[in-house]
Amino acid sequence: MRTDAELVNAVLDGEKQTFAVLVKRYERPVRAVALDVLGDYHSASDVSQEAFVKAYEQLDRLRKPEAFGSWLMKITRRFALDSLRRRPKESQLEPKIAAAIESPDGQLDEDKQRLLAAVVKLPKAEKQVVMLRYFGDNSVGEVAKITGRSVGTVTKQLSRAHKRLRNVLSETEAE
Amino acid sequence: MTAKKKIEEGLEKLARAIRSDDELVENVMSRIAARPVGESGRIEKVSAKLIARRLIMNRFTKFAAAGMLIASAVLIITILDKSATPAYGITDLPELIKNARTMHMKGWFYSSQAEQKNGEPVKLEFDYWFDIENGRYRLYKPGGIDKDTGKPKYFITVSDGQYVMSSAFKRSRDGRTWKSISFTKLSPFKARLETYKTYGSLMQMFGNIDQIKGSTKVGQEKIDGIVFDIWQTEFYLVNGFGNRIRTWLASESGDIGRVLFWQTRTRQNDEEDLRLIFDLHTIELGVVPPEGIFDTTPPDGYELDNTKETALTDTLGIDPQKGCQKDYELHSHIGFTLRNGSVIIGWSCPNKTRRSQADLFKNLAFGGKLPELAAKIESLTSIPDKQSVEYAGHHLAYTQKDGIFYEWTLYVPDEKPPARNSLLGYNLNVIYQVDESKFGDRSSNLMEDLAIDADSDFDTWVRGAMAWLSDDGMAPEQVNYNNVLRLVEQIRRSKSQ
Repeated sequence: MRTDAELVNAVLDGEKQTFAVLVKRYERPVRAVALDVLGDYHSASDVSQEAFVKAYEQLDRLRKPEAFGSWLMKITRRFALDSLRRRPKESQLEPKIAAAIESPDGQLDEDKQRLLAAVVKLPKAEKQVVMLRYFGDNSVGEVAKITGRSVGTVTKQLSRAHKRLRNVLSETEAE
Repeated sequence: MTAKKKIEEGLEKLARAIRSDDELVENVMSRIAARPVGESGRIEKVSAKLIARRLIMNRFTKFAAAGMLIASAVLIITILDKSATPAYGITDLPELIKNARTMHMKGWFYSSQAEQKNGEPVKLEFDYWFDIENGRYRLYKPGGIDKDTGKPKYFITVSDGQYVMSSAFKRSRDGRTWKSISFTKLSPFKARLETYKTYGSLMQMFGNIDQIKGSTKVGQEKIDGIVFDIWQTEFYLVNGFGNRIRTWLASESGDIGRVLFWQTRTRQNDEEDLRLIFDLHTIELGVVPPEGIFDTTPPDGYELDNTKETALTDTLGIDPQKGCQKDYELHSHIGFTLRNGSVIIGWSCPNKTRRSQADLFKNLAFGGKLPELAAKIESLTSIPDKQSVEYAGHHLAYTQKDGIFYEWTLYVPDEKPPARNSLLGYNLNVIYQVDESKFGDRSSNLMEDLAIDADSDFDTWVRGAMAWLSDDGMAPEQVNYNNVLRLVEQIRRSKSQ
């Protein structure tokens, strides 16, 4: 498994097909960020696509290739917010998050919405490891490899993220 | 349930709810095919029809015509000089490169980043060494311009066959910047594999066979006593960007003297719009690498992220120390695409208890059903999946290492498989025989496969991987190139009947 930095450098060296590996790796984290802002699956899919294309076009401006994941999520959020601003006002009043984040029986699951909102508000480094670990189906070792961090650092960041999510969710429940 | 466990479960449920969208990869890749990557985007697939049409219709035609005239002149001279018996032509280039065991290449990238500031491109040096058989390589390459200093940034990656040493540029929140080194440990097979894959990806700089087969000979040059034929090809991308590759190739020795690569700045397809992307001025195939070139001693001026002693091992199979975090896992470890389009994948489905799976691998037949593991990769679908080509799985063999069973499955396409150039990867179609929530890590696709074009590739990589994932270091005897090709034919015949 190649690190993000290795994949980014390979794409910059002309290995264009390698970008598909990055798209696959970050597909669900990116969609999650877009979903949190937009609330509906189709808009989130459109924004995800735009974000990947923009990231590709601006790849040579990425100063730290190992920061690809965080950078990509920032692009996604910006696109999602732009998309939200362009929407007709009434549709903002009816978020359709259920279309994308739904329990197997198709019912709107508020717990998941709340958890996702908490995940995307995590500090940058913690958000990236949580998304890669859970949304990207990677082991802790693989997350370490992808991000170029040590296993110890990733474990600590995950642990901090768990704690932060616990606190945020318990606050939300208390409200 | 502990609070931590609750959060973990919540995250896992959330992850399952955010559905994967196979079309996204396809859509993104088809859209970026029409765009340059930042400053580079140097080498692209070619649409043959488009090339032919554009060659007739646009201003590049002039150069093609000029090339043809020169080529005709060279041809006439060759016919008159009957002693001339050229041994190497431009279409031999991919084989020459593929068969090299060692290689040194050095040259210049021309960055457009600085061009935006003062109108002149910046020349950035790169220098690559490869020792493929021993899994060693050294890449010294630019990584753009540092916006703070305006100076080029250079990265070093060295594999000594045991460890990969990689450099990086870092910046702290308070703005401090520094250069760092990190190490990864490799198994011997993984070291060779990574070297081969890295080498293969960089060899795109010479153009693939589709891109260079239309080359014309546009001249000759004598460099250091060697006569080089100068070959040139021009091709267009599906997006309309024009490319030109000029290659100096010695017909007698197969030496490559130089490679120049241009691309148009815009989609104008205008000769005046071409800019030089790189100048590969040193290409040495089969050269003896200098002593110490693959040394992984950290250079001065770098901080260490880790050491060789604390480096993580990048294995091909399951790390025996790690085990499963949940009840089950599903891993695809390595994949190969054969020339006939069929695919071989080495995969495993270990369980937490490490209960022996020996009984599940008993009585499996070569070409028969897959083992009834908790999850099995029953079939594949190609990505992009517009054509919906499905590849049904057939058992080839299994190997066992450190108590883990590895299944080797042959996947045969149900119709004509996509061309290699347009294939991005494969989706794994998994059948779960136990509740999916009991699974921890799971592979869902295979995006990096290895092309197997000949029996020697098969022995080196397919049998090599099998041997590596085997306690006795031996690959199963029946799995050889000819037997697998025969099996593919048998399966196809039986389907057509």
